[in-house]
Amino acid sequence: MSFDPITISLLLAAAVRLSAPMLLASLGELISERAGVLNIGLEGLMLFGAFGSVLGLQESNVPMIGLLSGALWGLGAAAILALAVALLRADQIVIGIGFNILALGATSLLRQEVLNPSYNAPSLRAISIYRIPVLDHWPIIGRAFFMQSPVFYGAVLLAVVLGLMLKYTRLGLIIRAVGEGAGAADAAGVSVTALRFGAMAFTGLCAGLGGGYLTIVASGGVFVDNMTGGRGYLAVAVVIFSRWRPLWILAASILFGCADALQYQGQAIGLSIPPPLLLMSPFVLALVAWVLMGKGKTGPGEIGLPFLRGQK
Amino acid sequence: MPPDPYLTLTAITKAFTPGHPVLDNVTVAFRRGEIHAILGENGAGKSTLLNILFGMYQPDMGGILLEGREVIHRSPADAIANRIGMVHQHFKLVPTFTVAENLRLAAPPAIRPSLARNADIARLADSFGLSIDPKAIVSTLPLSLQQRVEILKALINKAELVLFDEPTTILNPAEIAAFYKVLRQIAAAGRAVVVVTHHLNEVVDHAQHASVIRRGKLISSGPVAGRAREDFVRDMVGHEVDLSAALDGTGEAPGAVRLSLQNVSVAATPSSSGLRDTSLTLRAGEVVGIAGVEGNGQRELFELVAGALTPDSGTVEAGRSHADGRPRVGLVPEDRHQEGLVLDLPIAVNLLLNKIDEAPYARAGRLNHAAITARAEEMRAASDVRSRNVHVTPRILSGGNQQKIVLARAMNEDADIIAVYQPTRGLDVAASEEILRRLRDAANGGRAVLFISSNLDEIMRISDRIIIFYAGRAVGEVNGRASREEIGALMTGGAAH
Repeated sequence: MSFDPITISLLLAAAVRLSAPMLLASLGELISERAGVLNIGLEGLMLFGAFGSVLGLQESNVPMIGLLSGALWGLGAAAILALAVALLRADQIVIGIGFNILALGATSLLRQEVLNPSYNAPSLRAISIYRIPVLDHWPIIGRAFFMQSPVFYGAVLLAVVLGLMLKYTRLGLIIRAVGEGAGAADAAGVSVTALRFGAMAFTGLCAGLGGGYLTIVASGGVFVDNMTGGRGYLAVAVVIFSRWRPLWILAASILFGCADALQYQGQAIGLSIPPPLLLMSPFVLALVAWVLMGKGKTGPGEIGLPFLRGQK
Repeated sequence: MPPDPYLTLTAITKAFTPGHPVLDNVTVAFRRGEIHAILGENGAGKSTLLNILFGMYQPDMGGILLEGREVIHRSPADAIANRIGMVHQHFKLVPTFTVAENLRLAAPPAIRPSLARNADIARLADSFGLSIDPKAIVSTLPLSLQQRVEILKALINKAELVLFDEPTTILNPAEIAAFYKVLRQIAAAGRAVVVVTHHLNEVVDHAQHASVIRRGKLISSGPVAGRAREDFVRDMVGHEVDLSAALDGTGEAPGAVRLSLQNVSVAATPSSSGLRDTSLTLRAGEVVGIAGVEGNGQRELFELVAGALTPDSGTVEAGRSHADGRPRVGLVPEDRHQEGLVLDLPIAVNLLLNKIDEAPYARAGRLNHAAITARAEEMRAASDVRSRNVHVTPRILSGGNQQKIVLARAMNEDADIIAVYQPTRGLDVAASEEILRRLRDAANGGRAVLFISSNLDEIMRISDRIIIFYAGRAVGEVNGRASREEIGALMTGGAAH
């Protein structure tokens, strides 16, 4: 086992690389939750996005279109979810879990029926790595933060933009109002239903893009069944762990990315921990984080509650 | 000749279930510069009338005339656009937002630029005589200030007609006086003010015009001047009720001591003085009223008697106790939604909640639903709880019927003492009278009743003795015939002690 700077630098780079899907999905989830929807279907949305992006890649041979396709699949899937949750006011948890099971089965079936198993992806290098000049030569963190996919940079920018939007804009005010006191927002003439629908659609877009990143940037354009492997659930955990704050989501995603990276690189760097334990590590981290945080701010006041006008 | 009405509701009829109109051909007119009270018992239809005006419901028949021109309110947004503001009974505020954020959320586009900075909001609030800290988080404000935010919301949105749904239920007497002062200002500025209430005194003291609705029908509408309280009561209830008549005891001397508090002290909190070295005895057959401005130790007293609180020093002794040492007392807590009822469990369970683990309702850990239902039906009939059966939940009942459940359970407790805290808060005249009469009957039947209330009229009508609390101490004791002035002086700490 060696802890020389190069090993650490490589591990950190892998961690950041693997944090991006979680970061995107968590940012999407953040908007849903701030608007009062606990979107458990995040796992399924990512899975649809992952499948959709490979389909887009195979059809177009253009990695960028693959990613876009993933985002749109996420959006479409989210529309179905939002139809049930925001419009028909079904139970958010039950529908979300059912949706995840549906996504697992549906993408597996579609993979067998639609995807070409012997497809050779074009070079994905352009979408996987963009070196930011000068900064990428920083010791240890240069590789981790300035030699990443443009999608990662975009996600970081998104975190900043969402943070500012929630804090300083009217849209942010309305989103928070719908999550904290839907009755007040309704009285102010805001359509709670439309806003929650929109928030969930945005979540779908982000989660779909996250799924696309997972296949195209992190897995060389190959889709395997259940390839999100619980990352959607972890992303929900990240949002709660970060106390619904975008920049903390960025930090927490990288932390979870570290746990993820250890799964793959633990053995390579000579860490003598049995692989199954490493596989478990992100989930253990999530549990430990929750327990350590204890009781604090409990998040948007009306999260998980359907809105019906005239109910006290 | 009075000025033309600003807004008229014409021949409004509304039925939620066919054939049972909640409102039946109601016509009322609101004028600028006037406080117009809409009076009625719970369930009379007055809130529905307001909600129709504010666009929450559509009338089945009838319409709205705004300065003589017909308008249709399909949603609250339409009403707001027509310069109508509403202060709901349950505030429409985001509790975790600041005052400023709540005001900005509710503002239409044209108003928003004027609310951009907190300083602007503070200045605007001052200009309406409703000073408030724009940075304060709403949930940390007392209810009277939250209500002020709601009023500001309406005024900032340039409302010309401001509707209030039961605005004073949550306020204490001093706050009520301040509230009507604000209302007079609003009316004096040329706006029309409508207040829905069932509190008669407020109407007589503050309103210029009053309309009474009973079971969906308009009974009377006209100037308040020259009408007596009794007239309104008759219109509301449908028969004569004397609201000042004393509820008499048996005339016999009270019996044995049932409850005795000796030199109890409880630490103060930010919202209450706690209790300081207070003693009190309660005897069989008497009603002892506890008067005082809220926050002077009443809650601690109730919780001590309930056994929910242990005093820091001193003793609480009851004639009979539960196995765990708590005094055996039938309890009617202050907040019937939070403490009195499990709103989403059936009435039967709520009625027998204090006995549900005893035979015959439970045997060997198994509930006997037949026994529960049978006994609950008996209690429901005896207490006149108006519901379809005992299997529905209290959530769908009126406040009066909810409180009858709580009281029936307290009476059913195998106890010599009944302790009640704000037993008639939020209830209408008929329900309040019913509750007071039952409590008096309980005392006349030999029980000891501890009656804690902020409603001095009630205390004076029902009590044999009145103990006045101030700053956590019993500062005085008078008999039930004492004058209001004497009690009032003690309540504000004015008497020598």
